[in-house]
Amino acid sequence: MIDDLHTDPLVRAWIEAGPDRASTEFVERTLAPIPRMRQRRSWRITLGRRAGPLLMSAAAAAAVIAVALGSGLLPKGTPIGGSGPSNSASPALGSYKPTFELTFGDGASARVFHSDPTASVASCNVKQAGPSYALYAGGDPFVNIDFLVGAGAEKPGGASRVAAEIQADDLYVRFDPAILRGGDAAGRSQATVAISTVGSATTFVVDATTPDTRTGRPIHVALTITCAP
Amino acid sequence: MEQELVRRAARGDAEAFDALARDRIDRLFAIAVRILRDHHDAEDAVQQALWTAWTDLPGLRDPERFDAWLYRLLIRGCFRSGRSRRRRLSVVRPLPDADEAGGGTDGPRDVETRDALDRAFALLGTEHRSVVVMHHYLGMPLEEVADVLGVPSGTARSRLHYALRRLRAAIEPVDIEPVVEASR
Repeated sequence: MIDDLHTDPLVRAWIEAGPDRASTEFVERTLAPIPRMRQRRSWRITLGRRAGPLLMSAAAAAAVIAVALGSGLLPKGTPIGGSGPSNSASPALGSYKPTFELTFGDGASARVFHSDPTASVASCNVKQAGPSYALYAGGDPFVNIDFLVGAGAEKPGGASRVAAEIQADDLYVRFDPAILRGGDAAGRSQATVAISTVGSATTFVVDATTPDTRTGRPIHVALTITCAP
Repeated sequence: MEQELVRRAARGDAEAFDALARDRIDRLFAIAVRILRDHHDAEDAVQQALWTAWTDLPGLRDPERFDAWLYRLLIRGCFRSGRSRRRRLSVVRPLPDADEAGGGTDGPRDVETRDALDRAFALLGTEHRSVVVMHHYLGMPLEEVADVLGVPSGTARSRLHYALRRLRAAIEPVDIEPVVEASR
């Protein structure tokens, strides 16, 4: 067999040649944002406390799919199911890239953030008859968005079926009025989503009011996300 | 100790994750730069892998699988970077010598041979490059390579066979039979 380590010393030497250390600048640039990046654990933990085993299992599976798709971990057409390194069969979903405009507050004090085309994590998954997800992390100031639109959001009475966890610079909010992820107490947040599609691009316009975690006072959040191939 | 660090990191301990990442980032970079043959693409792939590892770590069920899982994230980052690069343009970029890069081992001194291998490697897909690098650079058994890539071990073996045939053909002036790669 050709894969014997002793049959290709030239090839092996060529593969071994080259840099084996990352630059200090790169290491710091990569690791410095970590403490500011939220882990995708809060909803699942809250869900575990509040939901029954069946709901918890279904929602955890949805969260894992959202994370994997949102992170772009799974190539288009990859079977989805389970977490970590495991593989199992279930429907394949397509991937798109999100762009967004995010506004906190109103008037002169409003703070506006836009998507950065160079963001390392920027992907979304849109299903016409099912839940849609978007995940974004990047930019300066740093923005992290974990966004979910529930199935039926486009139907009459379904506009509140939207949930998001957003970190933008020093701001952090989370809303989930329809308890899609079990993360909101009843009445804590109000949010609606309007969905429109032009060609292969789908736009979600979200209007939410939810407590500002810095002050505890309600803050208006306007988020427009467009998912396109 | 390592598993305890993974558990702490999974609970949101950024210092624990920092320790894990610092211990591995050189190796991740070395793997990525050998697969992608481009420093910037390699840095993107490593950054993406580590950031995704941090955000998704609470979902990792078995701390003992942390390294295999991290390699898988890295390889997926390489796939994505590889696709982006193909969209930009196809280029052959020899890696800098170890002296230039501040580390590494000596490679073939023959520039012609190195160039030939560079060109042949550039024509391989990321799935083939990954197997070659993990098996020959990391010394990972093919079963483990297959596990990281999430493919049957026969597929990993087939990919390695295919890739090495191509690399050898580039530096050996002999005719070789066409190789039909086994499908996944």
